[in-house]
Amino acid sequence: MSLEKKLVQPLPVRIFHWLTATIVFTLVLTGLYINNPTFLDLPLWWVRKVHFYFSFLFIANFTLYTYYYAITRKYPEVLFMPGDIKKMPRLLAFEFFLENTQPNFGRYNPGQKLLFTAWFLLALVLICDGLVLYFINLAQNIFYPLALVNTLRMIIYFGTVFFAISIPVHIYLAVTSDPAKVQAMVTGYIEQNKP
Amino acid sequence: MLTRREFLKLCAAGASVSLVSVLLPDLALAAKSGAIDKLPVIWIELGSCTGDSISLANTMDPSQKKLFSEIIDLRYHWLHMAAQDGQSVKALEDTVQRDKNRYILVIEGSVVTADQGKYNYILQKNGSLKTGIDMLKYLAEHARWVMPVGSCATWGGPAAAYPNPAGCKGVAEVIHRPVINVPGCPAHPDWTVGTLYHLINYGEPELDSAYRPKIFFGRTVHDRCTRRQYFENGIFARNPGEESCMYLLGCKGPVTYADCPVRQWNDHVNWPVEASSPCIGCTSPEFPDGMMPYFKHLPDIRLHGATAAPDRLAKALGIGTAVGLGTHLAGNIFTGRIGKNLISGTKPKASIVTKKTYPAKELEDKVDALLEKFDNLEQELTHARQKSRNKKGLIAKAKQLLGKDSGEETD
Repeated sequence: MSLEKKLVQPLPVRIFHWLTATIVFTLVLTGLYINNPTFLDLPLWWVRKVHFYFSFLFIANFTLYTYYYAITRKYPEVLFMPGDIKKMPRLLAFEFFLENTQPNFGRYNPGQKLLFTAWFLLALVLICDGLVLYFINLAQNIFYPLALVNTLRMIIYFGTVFFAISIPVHIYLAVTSDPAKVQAMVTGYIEQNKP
Repeated sequence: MLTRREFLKLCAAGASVSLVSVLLPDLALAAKSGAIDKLPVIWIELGSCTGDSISLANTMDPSQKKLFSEIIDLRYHWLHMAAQDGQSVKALEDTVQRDKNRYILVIEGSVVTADQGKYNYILQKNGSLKTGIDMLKYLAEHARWVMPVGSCATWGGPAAAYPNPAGCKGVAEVIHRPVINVPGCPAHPDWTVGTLYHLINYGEPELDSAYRPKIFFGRTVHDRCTRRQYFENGIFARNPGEESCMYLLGCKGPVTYADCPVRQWNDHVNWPVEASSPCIGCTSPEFPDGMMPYFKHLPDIRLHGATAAPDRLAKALGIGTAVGLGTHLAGNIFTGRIGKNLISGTKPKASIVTKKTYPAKELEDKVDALLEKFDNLEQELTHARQKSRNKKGLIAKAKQLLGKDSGEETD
């Protein structure tokens, strides 16, 4: 049987993915440290600077990432679409060990797409929230809810917690259920039998 | 008299002495010389502890008497006026009638709304008790400026804290007209007098989205904190009383707009953080529910009576996720799925994009079926054409016969 190499993750996607991973990892760590700076005696100005630099990097990377999927019109491959609802029972049956054969959903399964959509929407909220907290003395003048700073701080806290708990889920499921796709996120390709 | 620019500079910098003591002689002079009008002021108290009046009384030099008698024309204040009962109410009513759209209405305390405000009667008029909410609506209608003073009057404050049985609200929520909020628990005398000074001399001050004068509430406490350097260097107090940053003790300075660090309290003697106690965020619209517990970084979350600390909730979510992943991993190991996936996970698989393929026999059958369908259609078409031709022939014949008959008749 002959083999073929199939490009699953083009170069821009791989670059955006690993940049996002590095930035989000740093933001989650520094964010949680700023919230509770008790376990290391780091100068907080340094941690805050790193957090702010990476926040602006995140905004730039997120904008370009979104732009890439918009112009290539590939966003239905990563965002949860209405058609994915019908596919969910099959995925859940497999993940809860009710079915042994792993269904082939293509590039991403509906569960992954649901997580990516949640991250995308949450990132939008956190970017706005973060900018308000960064420009704190200006934001209060724009409109009333922006003056509720402690509520905004709470939103950013739980947003960070969501990232902190969903990233391990993403890594675990990717590594244990389909290592070929993890490999594709590094090399770009998967090897498959010719149809 | 100070120009507006000088006044704003004075407020923004934060005086090394009380702002009140700087402004009042100036105001008194201006009032005496006739440069400014002594505006009538009505000060009513609703659901409150009288803390803002007491705070205003905390002026050292010049005295509060000077403020009331020479700067403003105080017509009604239940605590400070000598008149009582009918006399005091008459003074109030006279002001409303004679100085319509000219007086400043200062409100202290939250508006009690439960049971039509019956838990807050504030005076007796024509033999009947008047509730705070009714008097507020009546007085606010004719006032030139409405100025809620203190956290209770601005957004409900401690009186409106959970579970808020008296249905306490801020003034703006009830009267639906522009207000100038001077928050604080209590409001600093400089904020009250400074805002009054601005209203009398220069009109309405520049306000933020929460209707607070930006001259006093334009920057966060944290921005100008006297212990900011401790924060930047990561030196935190673990107990109240320690001389370092109060951040870990739940200081709300980073989320509170006020100039306490530069203005300070009790005639510039001290302020909470300098006294090694965290800021509780009393000038914030979220105070107190959104700022409690005071010694915790983030406020508690209340959902249908249940209370949860954010840190604990986050830990529970983390533990829940870890347990979920652990269980799934156990299932993966138990079913042998993980071994299979990890060993042969990167080996070639069937095509990811599955195309529908037809075996030769199936394809042949499909073609035969299509051809048969085509033949049937062709036959149907021929039949229909034949039918149509027949119809046309019959019509022509009928026409011929009809033509002959009519010819015979005419002959």
